Amino acid sequence: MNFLFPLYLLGAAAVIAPLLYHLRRRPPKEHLPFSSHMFLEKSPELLTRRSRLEHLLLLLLRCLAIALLALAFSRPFLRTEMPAVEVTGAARLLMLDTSASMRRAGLWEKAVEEAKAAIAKSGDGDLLALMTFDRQPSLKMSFEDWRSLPVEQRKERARQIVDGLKPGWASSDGGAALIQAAGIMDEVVSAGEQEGSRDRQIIVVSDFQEGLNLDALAGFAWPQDLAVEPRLLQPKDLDNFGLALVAAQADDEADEFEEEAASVSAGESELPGENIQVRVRNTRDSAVERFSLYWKDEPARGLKGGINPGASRILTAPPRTDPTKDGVLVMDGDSEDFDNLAYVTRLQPRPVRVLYHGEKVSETDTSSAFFYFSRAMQPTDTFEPTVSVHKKGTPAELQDIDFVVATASFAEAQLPALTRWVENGGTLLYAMREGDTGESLQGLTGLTGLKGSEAQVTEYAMLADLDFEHPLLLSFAKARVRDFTKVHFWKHRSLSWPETEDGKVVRVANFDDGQPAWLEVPRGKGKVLVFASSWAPSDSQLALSTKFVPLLYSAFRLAGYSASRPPLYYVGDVLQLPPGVASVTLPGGESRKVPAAGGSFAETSEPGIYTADTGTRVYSYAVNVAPSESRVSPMEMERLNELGVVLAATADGATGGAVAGESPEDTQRKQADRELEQHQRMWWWLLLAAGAILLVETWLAGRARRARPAADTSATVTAG
Amino acid sequence: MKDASATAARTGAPPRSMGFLDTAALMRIKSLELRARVVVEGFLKGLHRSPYHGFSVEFSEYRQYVQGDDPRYIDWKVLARSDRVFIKKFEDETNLRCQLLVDNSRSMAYGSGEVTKAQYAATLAATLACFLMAQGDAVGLTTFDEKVDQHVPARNRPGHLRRVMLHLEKAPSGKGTDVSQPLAHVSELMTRRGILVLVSDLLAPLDTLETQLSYLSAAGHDVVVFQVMDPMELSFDFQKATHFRDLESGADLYVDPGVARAGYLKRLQAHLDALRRTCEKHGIEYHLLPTDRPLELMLHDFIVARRRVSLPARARNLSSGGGGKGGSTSNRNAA
Repeated sequence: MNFLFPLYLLGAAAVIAPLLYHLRRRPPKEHLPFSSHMFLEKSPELLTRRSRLEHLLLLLLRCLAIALLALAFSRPFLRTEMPAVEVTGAARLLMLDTSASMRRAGLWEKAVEEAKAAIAKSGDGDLLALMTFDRQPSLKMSFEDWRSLPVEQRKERARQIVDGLKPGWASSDGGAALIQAAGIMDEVVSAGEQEGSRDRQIIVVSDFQEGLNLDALAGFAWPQDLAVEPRLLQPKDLDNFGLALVAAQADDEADEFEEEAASVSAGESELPGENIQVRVRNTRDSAVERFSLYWKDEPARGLKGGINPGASRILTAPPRTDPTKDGVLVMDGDSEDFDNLAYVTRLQPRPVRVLYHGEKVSETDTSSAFFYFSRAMQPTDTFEPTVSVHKKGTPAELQDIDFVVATASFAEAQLPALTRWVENGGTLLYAMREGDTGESLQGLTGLTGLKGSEAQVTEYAMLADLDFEHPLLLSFAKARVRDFTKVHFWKHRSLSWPETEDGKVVRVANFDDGQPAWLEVPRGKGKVLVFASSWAPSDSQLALSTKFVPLLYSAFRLAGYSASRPPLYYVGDVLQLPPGVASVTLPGGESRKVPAAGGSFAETSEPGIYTADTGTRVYSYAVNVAPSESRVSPMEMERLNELGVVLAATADGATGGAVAGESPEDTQRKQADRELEQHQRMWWWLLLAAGAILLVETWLAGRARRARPAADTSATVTAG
Repeated sequence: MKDASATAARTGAPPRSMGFLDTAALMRIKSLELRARVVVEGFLKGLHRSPYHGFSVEFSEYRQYVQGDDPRYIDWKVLARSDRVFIKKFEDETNLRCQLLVDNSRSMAYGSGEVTKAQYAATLAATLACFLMAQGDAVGLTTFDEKVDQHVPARNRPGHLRRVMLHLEKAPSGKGTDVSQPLAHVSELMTRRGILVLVSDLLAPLDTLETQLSYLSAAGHDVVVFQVMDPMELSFDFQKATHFRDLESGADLYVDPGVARAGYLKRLQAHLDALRRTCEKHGIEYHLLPTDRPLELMLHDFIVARRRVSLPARARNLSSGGGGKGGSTSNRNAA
């Protein structure tokens, strides 16, 4: 029998404890009443001369239990069963971090050096594979490639591959990369090339920055016989400011940074609508705090400030002269510049899909309301409306519709679908035509008792009591444009509803006769805008007025649509393109064709502005370095341990493992012993036996204890 | 005695085995008086087998007149019939006064089996009281520990036995045993000669005991000592080492019987021997009574002792010419 940890056998010496325990005569705790001490003399309590072992069976069981425990801890195994192991060398997977943080000064050179050192260490019998990782792992040289090469060319080839590598701009997903690497290592073993005892190791050459993202490992059971050897690359310094755009959010979340900054020099924004928020971050161990933030083509208009090490803040970017152009925000002050640029696209028009429902829909008939509406729906910098006409008698196709305009009443069967759509957040503009009694409107608004009738208008009616604080009229609030008196209404409908429903209606404008003209009726998450008169020439002059188009676009804004920037993209993300894009221009000016199926573009390998041309319009997409790459402080190596990763000895033996001075044969023999012992698991049976013995011992001891008091304390004493 | 046997029959007293009543079985009878009567009855029933005759207050003897005898005691009828001059001698036994001295110290509460020494001593004393009162003798009781606890003067009147029994039934409550002081006290109280029966374990130093015993003996009292011991006290046949708690002092002492037995027995034997020698020296009847010894045997011992003692006592009576209080009582009775 052999032992994995023979030193534990010394623990068997603990049998001396029960021996002494049994030899020792303990004075009993009981008292025996006796008439008088007159003739008695005290006996010495511990008599070594007369000591004799008591309760031999108990003693035997106790000694046996201790001996079995010692034996179990020494992890015995039988080497006779050991299979013949052909030792063929180690299998190593070299992983090189090529994420953006590796672009820091001097870091990549160190990485190449480390990688080459690891390659040089490989022996003739060893296997080596080469992998790079950023947000995606990429196998540059597989074990098969290594094997397929003549022995003398292997290392050279690996060195060439390393020389050809350079860090990219993508973020790093160390967890996913390690999991894939573990899979690759697993396949080496399962390939079954009589390599049962092959030492398997993953060497990770990385800066192990905080943003390495090891989360994927949390749900992964790391193989216990697969060791990871981290090769931590130390950067020259750790000063780094991170700059990242923040997805659109409420204004009040922006830090009141400008007030705090020691020196902020910024002019008034000429376009208050452009509210670009950025998150600035300083690394934990940074020695610098002062930074300046400015637009690349307007360095003079930037802001300057300070940020504490380890802190992060959301700021509003300084204003710029022309927000309709794509721009680049620059942050200065730190020693590393790989993450100092933030690319910002211009505001881009919002496509609005409008469904039009009305009678006599014609694009040529000037008496038709649709004639004017369709002409008003031209693309602008803000909106890109597309109008589809609802065919009468068919159910409204509402799933792809952003806005509904109705100039005629709906069939009763269509009302439930429309009501549902409104309640789910849709906005419907309903202009009442002559003769409309408000039945559809009652169904759409949910106002019970709503009735419409033709109002008596002498000559014409005008708008009065306009609520310029209402979002619909907000764009007309300025004195120059707030005159609605030139809009004459020849006819309009008179609307009435019970007083109890008053609370559900928001009046936006009245006619000068006091009748409601424009109303907003909120319903569910959506709303219904009601015009008591349409813009058809038979009803009013509204369509010919300069107010008409802005009014409709205000309605779109009221519905929640506005010009926007495309979503934030980071290097490696897939761009979602509009239909009709044939090619994408890379930041460097190079053009890439988009497959006919189109819709997306994945080659975002560097930060910058990517442009996509549909022929009629040019869309731009800003692709930035992921914010996680800016967190360049090295992570704690314990984090790997916490996630279950087995860390191997580093080159200088810092984390244990192979003992210095031990020959590879010894190491492999020990490894084989470990596996044999794990296979046999004799310790488990020994522990079981010890447990059973202790149970018997407990039972016996309990029985002996119960029997003892009855034996001697039988004297009778009458109460005194 | 008729009453006693009838009571025993009614209550179904335990059957006797081997001629004697088992002590443990006897002690299961709750009533001390009944226990005593059972013993006395058993003893009297078996008397016919005994080679000895009981000593009786009716017993009298004649002897030839010698010069100097009081002519009042000449039996004139005998003189008339046989022309011989005999002196009629009345024993003092009819007015025998017996004082029972019963040790009530805490050490008497010990018992290795079912019977404690105190129970045994009480039964012994009760048996004697019962037996003596049945003969018309006066019986008194003195219980003591370090000092005299209860003292009932010797009397023979109806209800007195009951009173004696009540005092005997009291459980041991005293602390240490000191025989000499109570003996001194009793010798002061007993102005008339009589029998003094000391029932105790006598687990006390003997220094002053001898003095007091000699006083009593010299005062003309017949002293009988019953030393009651538990069989375990005599053999110290304990097996396990443990703490022995002194019943009198409450102190604990760790004793390994295997080691301590020899020394204990040696010291005990020395004590017993010294006690025996002291008693012999002063003409005191001494009996060692293990608590497993049948009480009938004790009664037998007592009577034998009385027979032995009575001769010298009679001699003393005669030689003193009926002097002293005992003598005057005898004379009165004869008159």
